[in-house]
Amino acid sequence: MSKGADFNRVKLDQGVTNYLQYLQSTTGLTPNYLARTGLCYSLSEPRPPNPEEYDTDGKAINRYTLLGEHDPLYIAMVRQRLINEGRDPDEELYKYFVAHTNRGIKTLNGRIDSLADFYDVLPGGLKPDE
Amino acid sequence: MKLTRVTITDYGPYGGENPFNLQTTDDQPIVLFGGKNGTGKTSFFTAVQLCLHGQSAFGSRTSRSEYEDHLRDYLHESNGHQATEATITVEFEYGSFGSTDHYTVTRNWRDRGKSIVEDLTIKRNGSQLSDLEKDQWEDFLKELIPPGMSELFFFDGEKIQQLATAIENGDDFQDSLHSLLGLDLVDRLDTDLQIYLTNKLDESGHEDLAAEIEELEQEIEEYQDEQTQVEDRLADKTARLEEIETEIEQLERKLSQEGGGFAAKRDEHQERRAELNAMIESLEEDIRDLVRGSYPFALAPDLCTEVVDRLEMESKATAEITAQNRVVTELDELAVKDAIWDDLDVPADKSGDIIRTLQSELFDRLADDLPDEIHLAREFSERQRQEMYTIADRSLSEVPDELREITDELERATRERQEIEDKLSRAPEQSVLSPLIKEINELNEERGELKTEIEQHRERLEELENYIGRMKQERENKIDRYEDLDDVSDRADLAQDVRSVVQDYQDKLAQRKLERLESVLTDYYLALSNKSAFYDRVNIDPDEITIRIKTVGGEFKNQSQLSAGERQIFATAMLWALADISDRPLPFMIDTPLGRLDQEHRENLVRNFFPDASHQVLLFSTNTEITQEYYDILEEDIAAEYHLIYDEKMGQTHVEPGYFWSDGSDDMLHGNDIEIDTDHQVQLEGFNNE
Repeated sequence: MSKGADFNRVKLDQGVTNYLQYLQSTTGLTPNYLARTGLCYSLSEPRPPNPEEYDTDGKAINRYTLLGEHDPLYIAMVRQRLINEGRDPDEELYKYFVAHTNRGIKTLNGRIDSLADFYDVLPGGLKPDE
Repeated sequence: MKLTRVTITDYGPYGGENPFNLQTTDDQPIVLFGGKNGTGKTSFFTAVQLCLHGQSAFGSRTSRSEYEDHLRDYLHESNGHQATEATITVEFEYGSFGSTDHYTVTRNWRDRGKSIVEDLTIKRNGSQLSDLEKDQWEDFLKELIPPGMSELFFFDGEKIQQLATAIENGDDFQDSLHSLLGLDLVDRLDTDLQIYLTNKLDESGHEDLAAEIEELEQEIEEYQDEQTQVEDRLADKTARLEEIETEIEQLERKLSQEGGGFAAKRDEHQERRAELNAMIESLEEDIRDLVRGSYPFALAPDLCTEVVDRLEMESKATAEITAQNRVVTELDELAVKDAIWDDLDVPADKSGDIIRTLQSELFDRLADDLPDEIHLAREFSERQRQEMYTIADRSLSEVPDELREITDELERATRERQEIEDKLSRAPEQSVLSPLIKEINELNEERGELKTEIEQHRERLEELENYIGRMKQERENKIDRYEDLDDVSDRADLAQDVRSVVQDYQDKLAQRKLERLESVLTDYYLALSNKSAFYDRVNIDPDEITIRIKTVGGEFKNQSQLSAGERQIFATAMLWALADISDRPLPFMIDTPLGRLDQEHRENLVRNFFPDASHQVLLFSTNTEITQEYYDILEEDIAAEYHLIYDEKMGQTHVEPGYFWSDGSDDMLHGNDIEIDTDHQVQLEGFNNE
């Protein structure tokens, strides 16, 4: 199946899937929400992820389950990021969407041990009193 | 089909009720109507068509209001009195499948000022059609006697003149011949099938859909497996929780029996701990809610803001580009509006410059900081964009503050719970109590863990149910679409098959009809022509549909070489032949077409055409057409005669039996009054020839 800008299903990395399970047990959040959080976390990192680093042997998530009603904004952010990096947002959308999601979950795994940590990982600019 | 009676009431020149008995026999197929011009011959003609075909009697393009105008025009008017209601009843016998049915069709209409109220009733063998709804009656009549077909059987001079002219002009003739042969119906079927095919075959993607369905099914199966696992785990944990709670209860009771004052304090702590647990649980759920909502966007605020700015800028730019284009077109339009320049004191040759200056100035103003290209906004609908702005705004402004408050509270509650746990675990120095307390603490800890796990399992189950339900729905939809497509491609195949059969059929039908037409037309033309000794046969080229006449000498003569009178005879023969090969035995109604014909042709028509045209012939004539001489020739074949006389004083037509000089039967009727026989079983003597 061709996966440029149009995809119905996302296949995650095997190792990342394990992190997801661990995160689920500590936060009580299901993988789809954790994956969204991961995606955005990775999008805030200036360095682009390397799609080659991840396999597709892990969990598969349906696109609607993964992005829910906010699908357009998630997709718009990935597109804008690709445009900023001079990549073709139609050709490479899926590739980088998955790469960001994988990398984001992996990074979150080290930073979130409980629900209280979600506030901690917010960027400093949004925490007024600190 | 055979007409047995027509009754015309307050229609055209016919005032009051005018019954016409039209019974004929095979030996005497003709009913002769005599009348000078303007006595209502043509009205009789149209009355029958109108009764049978209603609106379509005036052609398929007649609108309802045009039709009502016609109906109003036909209401009888005499002596300054206008009838408000008219009725036409046509009774006929119709044979099908070996039996003969008697039909009575009555069409009545009333002028209600603004509109015409029309009423149609059909009786078969004396009783109303019970197998059809009233609104299907018009259609029923159309099938019984197709309007296009009946056209062939209503002959008047005008129609023959038209056909004669068409023959002369060649091209039109081919088209009308096609439709006269009944081939236009097949043409239309073929066109309809083609339209059907183009419409249906657009829907593709059959295989993709099958793959998607399979993928969905796999996914559903995976989720269902997980569902079973989670349910098992949930059952195990719930059982274990119950065990632990019983154990804790027992231990607590033992402790309070032996602990005294310490136990009271302990109860207080435990109560507070329960409160805190509930509070922590609810705070944690609040955090989860935020994370499930718009929290993730707050992790990448810069990108999120960039997207929103870009979308807003692009939307605005799109609007400006539209405005730019509008300015140019509007000014272009103004440039040619003289009224504007007339009011202004501007020389005519300057107006162009002014417009161009304005265009370029406004264009530049609107062009201010337009982006190089619109690449993001076009991916999303206006509604999606508006939603994005709202989510982005909320996640960047409200979410962090809310999350901070909840998190602070959660940390406070957690800290307090920790202190209480510490207090609870600090056992008094009583050797009996401390092992008990230790055990209770351990069990409590396990209970907490179990509760969290159970809660998680429950949530997961709920989610799974949602996913599975949604996916099943999606699968059903896709299966439905898949089956539709299946069905469509089957039907398309079928339509394709039908089309080739139809085309085949059309070719063969045209060929056979033309062959038959050629042979029948030859017979009829030779019977009517005065050069039958010179002409050998009529020759129709099936490809070009050109008609030529072959002479005995083997030469061909085009119809254009025929004289006007000969063309008229040829057209008559053509209509006769077409009616014959239509395989619908209908009565002929002939408004004498003798006008332009010479003596010899007239006699041919009278001898050969009128008696043999059909099993029933209604012949309308003035006294100069069917003259005494011709009347004598026809007399044997006449079943009934009617004389239409226009009474100028009354302004209406009287109907009398007989022809101009024949009174019908002497012993029947006297004076101008027609005796009206209301029971059609009783036949007027002298009209009845059975």
